[in-house]
Amino acid sequence: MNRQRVKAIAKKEIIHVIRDPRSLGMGLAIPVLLLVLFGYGLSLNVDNVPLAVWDQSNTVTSRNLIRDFTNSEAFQSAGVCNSQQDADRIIQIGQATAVLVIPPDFEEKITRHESSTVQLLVDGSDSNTARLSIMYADGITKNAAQTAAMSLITAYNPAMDTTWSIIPGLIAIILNVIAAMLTSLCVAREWENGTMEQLVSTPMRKGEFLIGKLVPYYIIGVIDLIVAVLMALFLFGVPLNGSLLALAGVSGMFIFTTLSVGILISTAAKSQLLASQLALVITFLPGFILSGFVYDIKAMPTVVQAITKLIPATYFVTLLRTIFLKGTWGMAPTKELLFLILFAAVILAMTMKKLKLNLDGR
Amino acid sequence: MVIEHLTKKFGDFTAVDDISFSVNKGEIFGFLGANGAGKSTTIRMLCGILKPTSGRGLVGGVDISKTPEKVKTFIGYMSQKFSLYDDLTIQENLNFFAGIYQISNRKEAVKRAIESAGLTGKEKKITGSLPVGWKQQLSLASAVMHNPSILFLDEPTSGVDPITRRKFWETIRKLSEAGTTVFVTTHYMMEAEYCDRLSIMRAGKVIALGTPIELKRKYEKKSLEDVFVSLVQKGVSK
Repeated sequence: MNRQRVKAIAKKEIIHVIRDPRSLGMGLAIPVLLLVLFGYGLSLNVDNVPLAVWDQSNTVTSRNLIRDFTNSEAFQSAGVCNSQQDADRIIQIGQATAVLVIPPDFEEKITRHESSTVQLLVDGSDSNTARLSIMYADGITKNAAQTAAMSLITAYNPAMDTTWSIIPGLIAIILNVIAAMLTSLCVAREWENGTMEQLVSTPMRKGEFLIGKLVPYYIIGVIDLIVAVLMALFLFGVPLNGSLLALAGVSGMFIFTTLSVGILISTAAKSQLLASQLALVITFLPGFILSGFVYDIKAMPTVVQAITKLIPATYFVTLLRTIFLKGTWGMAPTKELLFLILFAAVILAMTMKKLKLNLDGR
Repeated sequence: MVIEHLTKKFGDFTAVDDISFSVNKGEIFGFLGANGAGKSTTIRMLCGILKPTSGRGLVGGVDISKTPEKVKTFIGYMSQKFSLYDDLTIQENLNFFAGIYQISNRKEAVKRAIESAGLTGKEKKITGSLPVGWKQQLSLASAVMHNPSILFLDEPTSGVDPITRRKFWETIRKLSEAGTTVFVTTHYMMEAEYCDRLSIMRAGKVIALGTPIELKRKYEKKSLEDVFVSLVQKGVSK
């Protein structure tokens, strides 16, 4: 390994990036754009769900409960109803998304320190809103029931603000795609432009070539990371409960892992178009669908769950959420970090094997 | 340089078919042949960037099949297709290859290369925008920057104007006088006359070898062009 050669390759690669506005745009502008678009667009929060009330009790206690509902950010008052038909109709015509039904014996039971059941009729046609409405309602009733010893407090994300859990995951998904896309072009370009023929006639070694190629894109990846974290903290107001060092360490490793995936694709594909498309499919789809970012991994079939364990993004999504929201750095992240290191090592070994510094493999 | 029974097959196609010859140190060795005769394939094998299917090749005493990476340390190669970086400037291209070859006094070496290519004052020009003649001069300057003992030139003067071509051959002559072995392929019979020895290839085989004078005498022709045409046509009529 010769430092002078690595430096020469890295320098040349930086010039390529600077001279090509498209790759510079992809490297720096697109991550910011994606974070803004998804950060605002993907919010799973429910605000001001129209709520109608059928108060059969009509007492101070029941009215207090109704006030708890309408005073929360999740619900807003959307009228009253007096019968089952009335309640059904209000949901059908869309005047309300949910109807709160309070039984006649509500106050009696509460004063006797017994539990009373209130009913929430929800419009299930938008299952996401329905699910969240139920969740919020659950929280409100449990808090309201002063007798209940079991008042539920949502841990780590007390406001249940989904932006908080989305942004760290989103950073993971964006870095995953961008890093792989960045390097996916860099080896294929040498083959496509014919410059590889000159390169392979020099005494340059594989390791020098790969490291020289990785360094500039690593720098871009780290810049992306810094920008994304700053946006998370100051634009979206996500708290960073864990240590900055942990965040830097984990992210630094992840960027390296995904850059390696990109460079393997580039080495194998030898055409820029094919390589960039492969990189997009290989990183974006599993990253988005299987990493636990959007869908809960525990709810997936066992086979699919096993597959998610082979995707670096799965670990990175978990790690970033842990560091941002929980702030812990226990045993589990170490295991995940080890996986990332192992994954990168395997990918780089495959790249070394696939990369031929002659024209036979062309 | 000693080549014995060197063969290269691409699938069913035999590009280079059992060729044997040797090249002496400091010689300008010309390689003639029609397109597709196997010249580039031969040159690539000798540079260690294409593995021979069979046969043996020693370049500078080093086996090209066994240790191609060793060959690469003392050769210079200028490929048929321009293969420096179009989006880099002249200076950046030379800086890059000076770095790759670990040239000790890089600034000085790059400056000298620019002078020898006659590109002084144009260092900051983007390579892709240069005319073919300048590009070829730059390729040559880049290929010899690290003072290789053996230089491989694959059709270095194709598409180059006659004046630049003459300059090219002056450079080649100088290098040879300084002890560099030059292995060059060409289409131009005028250029073949400048070579110390020539070989003519047809369909992967070497069909004639000798000094220009020997070849003309042997085939009883006045010019090398007549020798070449008669030999290649013989193959076509077969």
